Formats: sequence, C-alpha cells, structure tokens
Amino acid sequence: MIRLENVTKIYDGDVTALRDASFDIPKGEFIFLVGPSGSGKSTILRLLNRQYKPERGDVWVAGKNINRMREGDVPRLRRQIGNIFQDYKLLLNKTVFENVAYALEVIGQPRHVIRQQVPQVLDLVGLAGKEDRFPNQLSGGEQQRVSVARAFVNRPLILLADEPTGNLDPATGEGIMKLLEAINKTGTTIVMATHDQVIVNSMRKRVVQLDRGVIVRDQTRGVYE
Amino acid sequence: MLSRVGYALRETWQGFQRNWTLTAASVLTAAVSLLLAGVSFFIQKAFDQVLEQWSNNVQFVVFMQPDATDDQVAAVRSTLEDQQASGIVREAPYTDKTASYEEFRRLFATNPTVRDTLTEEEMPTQFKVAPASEDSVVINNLIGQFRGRPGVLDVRSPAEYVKVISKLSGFIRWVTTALWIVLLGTAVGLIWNTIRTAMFARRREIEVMKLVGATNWFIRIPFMLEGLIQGLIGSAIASASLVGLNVIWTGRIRSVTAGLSNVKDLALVHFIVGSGYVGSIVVRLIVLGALAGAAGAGIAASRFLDV
Repeated sequence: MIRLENVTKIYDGDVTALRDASFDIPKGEFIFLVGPSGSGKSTILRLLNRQYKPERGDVWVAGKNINRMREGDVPRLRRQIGNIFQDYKLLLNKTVFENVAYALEVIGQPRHVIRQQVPQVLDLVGLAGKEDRFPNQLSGGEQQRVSVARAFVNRPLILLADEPTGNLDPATGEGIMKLLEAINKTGTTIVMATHDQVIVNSMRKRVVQLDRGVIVRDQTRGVYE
Repeated sequence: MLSRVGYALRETWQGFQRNWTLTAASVLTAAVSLLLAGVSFFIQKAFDQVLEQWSNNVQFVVFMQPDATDDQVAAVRSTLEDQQASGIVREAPYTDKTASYEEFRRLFATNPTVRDTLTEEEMPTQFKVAPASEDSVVINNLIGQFRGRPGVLDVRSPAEYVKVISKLSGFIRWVTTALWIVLLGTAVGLIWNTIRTAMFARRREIEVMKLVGATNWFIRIPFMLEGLIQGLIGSAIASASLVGLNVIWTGRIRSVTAGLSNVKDLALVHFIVGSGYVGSIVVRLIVLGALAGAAGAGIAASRFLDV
C-alpha cells in the first residue's frame, strides 16, 4: 500500500528532515511513527499525501509513484487518503454535519450521497445527535471525532494521523484510539505519528522509530522505547 | 454537476458578504475607469464624426467684396463654372447679400454685439466651393486662383480648423486613453488584492479542501467568479452612467441647435453620438470589465493557492 525507497527530504537546502528512509506498509496495517519532535514523523506523513516532494528517493502510495505524479492527479490521490491532525483543523463556522459533508462536497459528491453518508459516519464515531453543534460547543475529544469522521467519510484506503491524541487527556485519547482501531479493522491502512508512550505500548502494533531524520528501529508488535 | 454550480455560487455570494468594503472599493474603481474608457470612446467617436463631416465636404469660401461689381462676380462665377465642367469642382453655390446676412445673423443669434455690427449692405457675398478632390495641394492651388482677383475680398478654407480640431481630438484621445488604462490597471490591482485577502482569510478552509482532495479549479472558481462579478458590476455602473450622460449630452445639443434652421450644417450636431454606437461602447465596457475582474482574480487565485 505504501512504500518509501531511500527517501531523503531536505528543507530550505540545508535542514535534512529525513535521511535515506525506506519501509513498506502492507494494506490494512496499523503503524506508529515514534520519536522526539523534529525527528521526521510529520515529514513522512506530508510526503505520503504529497504536501511535500522528497529530494531523493521514491514514495509509492496505492501502487503509484507519487513523486512522478502530475499536479492534476494529486487531488485524486488525496481522495484515497484521510488526514487527522492534533489541532483537528475543523472549520469553526460550520456545524458538525457541514464539516463532514464538506469533505464530500468539495470532491463533487451529489447531495443524496452526502445526506446518506454523513449521518452514517457520525453514528460510527459516536456523534449521532450532535450534527447541528458547532466545533466550539464540543469537547476536544468530540472535535477530534468530527475530524476522524471527516477523514473517513470518503472511505479512504489510508488514514494519516498526526498526533491525534496530542491535545487530549488519556481517557479521551483512548477513545479515539478505539475508533481508529475499528476503522483499521475495516481494512483501512493507518499511519499514526505520536509521542504517546502509553498508547503505543498498549496497542502493540508495528513501530517505526525515528531519530533526527533517520529510521533507527522498525519493529512489529513493538513498544515505544 | 448541479451541486458544484450551487457550491460555486454560494461561495461567491458569501465572499461578497464577507468582504464588502474591499469589494466596494474594487467595484467603484472598476466603474470609474470603465466610465472613463466609455467617455474616451465616446469623445473619439464624436470628433471622428465632426472631422468626417468636414473632410467629406472640404470647401473653401470665396468672399466677394461688398462693393464688387456684377462683372467681377460674373467673372469668378464663370471660372467656377468652367472648373465644374472640367470636374475639378463639385459644386459652388453662390450666396447673395440677403442670404449671407441672414446666415450671419443666425450664426451670431446669441451674440447681439457681433450680430449688429454689420448691415445687409456691408455683407460680403460668397461662393461656397466644394472641390472634387480632397488633396490639399489641389485645393491650395484652387484657392490661389481666386485670391487677389478683382472683387475678391478673401478666400477662407476650413482646412486649418480641421487641423486644429484633429490635433485637439488626438490630444484628448491620448489623455483619456492613458487615464482609463492606468485606472483599469488600478482596478485589476484592487480586485487582485480583494481576492488575495479573501483567500488569506480562508486559508484554513483552503488547506482542508486541498487535503480532502478538492481540485485547484474547484477551489479557484468561486474566487475567480467573485472577481469576475466585481468587474461586471463595475462595467454595469459605468454603462448606466454613460447612457445617462449621453441622454443629457444629446438633449443639450438638441436644445442649443433647436432654433436654427440648417441644423444639418452645424458642426455641433455631429457631436451627437447615436445610441447604437453607445450600445457598442457598452458591450466593450462589459468585456473590459469582465477581463479586468477575471485577470485580477485569476492571478490572485493561481498565486495564493499554496496557503
């Protein structure tokens, strides 16, 4: 599903964010990227949804070398990838329903599809009945659920999560992880960057550890350290 | 497809509401520049009409002395008749004292001081000569044949006035064209800034749109539409103003010339620009407005999508 081949990413010509990184992620896997701030976790996520292009090496997603992809094909790639962020990135002037519907609307889905899919996914993330709330009226955990719903409403092949529990208390974070696990069980590949030792240690999934842009460990059923 | 159109229109409308002060500034600048463009086209047309009228009918006037003898007048007339026969001169009607006097009084109807300076007896009679050729060499040669002949007071040609008018019109054309181009450039800049500001204000939304896989065009179109509509509203205001100005202008000229009998000959009448031509100016203004709006918004939308 995802493959990095000797990928190097350099910012502004002299900051090496990722050095010669290679790994393979088969379809349906759940993988943690761990390491301190600035170790290159977010860089990998941004390479995967082609917010960045690497200086060297190839990035393969869903059978395509996305470095060689034409700009015009990038939107289609991104429709296969859901994104979750530490700060949720919800639109504050839109309701819960509209935030999720937005993801379908901007890729041109017809209204009847939106009306059918959005309540379904809101139900899945446990937000049924809160469709008309605005993000500010929700707790952090609920906002993150909206963001998960938005990322998943399009049934993407891959979900990229950048510190999704970073702003949440442990119990709430655990709820989000349960949700991601459930989504993973539907066959969605999940790549999650995190600092959260407790979560990584309790889930026992594959762990890729980074240190200053270098992959120092790649362990199946691993722990944080 | 319908939902996409609905989306674009909804977003465009919201853009207007969100940002109405900047929008108003862009629209008004566009309107002023386009009105100036319209006035410039208008003035050019009016001058062209006047010049065309004059050059179509290049004529010189042979003024006879008030006390010229009948023989002297007959000599000039026979020369002109010969020239008509040989095709050099198209026509050369003679205006006698009474007719000349009437014309003089009519031309200076509003200026009694001048009007009352001459009596009918003192009026020079005149031949209004329309040469067949428009070549100034030929015409000057013709004029030379009459100047200084016995009984001839003077020979006057409007060529010099034509020259002055066309110089004046060239100057006005240059100034108004430069002005409207500069102003339209300003309007493009303002529209660009409005759209850029709108995009910056919505960078979060744009980021989310890009991440969920919206195409650049999908994101751009509402912004471009917003700029396009700003340009179009500007051209609508300019067009309405121009049509209004034309109505006032035409009315003024008609009221000034209303009392005069040979209205056709009066240069002033040729300053009236027909409503058909005004219509074609309006079309040009709409196209210019749309282009200005699309250009400003298009540049902004393609440059600032990477927020």
